[in-house]
Amino acid sequence: MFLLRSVSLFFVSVFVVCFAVAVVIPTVHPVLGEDAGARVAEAEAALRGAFRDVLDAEKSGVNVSGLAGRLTVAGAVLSEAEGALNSGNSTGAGVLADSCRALADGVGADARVLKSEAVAGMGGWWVLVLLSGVGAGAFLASLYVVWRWFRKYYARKLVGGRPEVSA
Amino acid sequence: MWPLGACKQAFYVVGLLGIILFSIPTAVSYVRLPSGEPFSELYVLGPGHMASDYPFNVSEGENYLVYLGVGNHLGAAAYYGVYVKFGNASDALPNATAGVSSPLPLLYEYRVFLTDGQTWEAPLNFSFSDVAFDGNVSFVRNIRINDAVFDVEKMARWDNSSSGFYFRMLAELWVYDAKSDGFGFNGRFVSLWFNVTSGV
Repeated sequence: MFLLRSVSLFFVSVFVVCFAVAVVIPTVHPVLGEDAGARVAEAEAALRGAFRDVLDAEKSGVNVSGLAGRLTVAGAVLSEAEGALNSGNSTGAGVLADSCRALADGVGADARVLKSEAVAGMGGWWVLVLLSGVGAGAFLASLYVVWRWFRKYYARKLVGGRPEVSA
Repeated sequence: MWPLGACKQAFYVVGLLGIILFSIPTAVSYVRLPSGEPFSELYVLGPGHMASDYPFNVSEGENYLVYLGVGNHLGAAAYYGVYVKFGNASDALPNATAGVSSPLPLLYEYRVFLTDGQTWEAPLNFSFSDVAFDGNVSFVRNIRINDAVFDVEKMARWDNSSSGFYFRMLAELWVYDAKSDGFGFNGRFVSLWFNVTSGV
């Protein structure tokens, strides 16, 4: 009797475990896929945000060719992630998407730093404008002094030149 | 001796030349010369990096290679998407005049970031699998682009005039617009015709 009860309990336990696994796994796998899809979408958004930062930096006069090259590398990683997602490799897709996002965030951060440095350096441009203005002003002042002297010299020359009177 | 008036005019001219000379450094750092009409370019080259030897007669399982290229002449950095699509002879092509892309689904996307004047080239490796022939119809079910496999489920009927089963691969050029945070079709595309054969 005891043996019969133990065997029954064993088979019931196996049945319960198998049923639980059959219910849980299908609900876990789609979650992984959805998570990978969301991470790919976030990586794409990070790529766009980084590009906007690069554009801002370029408008401030920064040479962004190096940053653009790094973003192209990040974009290639994202394309791989999408390919992996399409092939059903959610784990690989998620890893690649996170890698792309890290690359893009790094580029965006560098772009913002370079832009700040460029904006700070804009003061040099105003110094150039000021020096040009001061130089032009000094030149015109000197020219005016020379003109005043020339006018007096011209007048002396005129007074000194007496007309000849023929007999 | 010159009249005083003429001397005065000479001093005016010297003064004006001096102002121009002193303002040149500022002007050079600020003024942007006109650079011409902005445009982007998209091109495809054969396996030898030349506009020749494009794959045409293709069969299942064989690997094929072309190169896609993009050039930026927009005057500023740009974010390009090159969208690779696959269809048959009856699928609509993009309308470059109207700026409307092909309705075919996007299979593979290249993401390219270029500064003004830069160009980019990358290989496009592809092959076909699960190709079937049934009478005067050919089916292509899968296409591999680089390392990704896509279900395309495309069919082509036998073309009597050209004697073949014709499919087409498109690459469209899209450009990211930062203001709208979205991509727009640039109106440029390239396409390659393939005659799918049994390979026997």
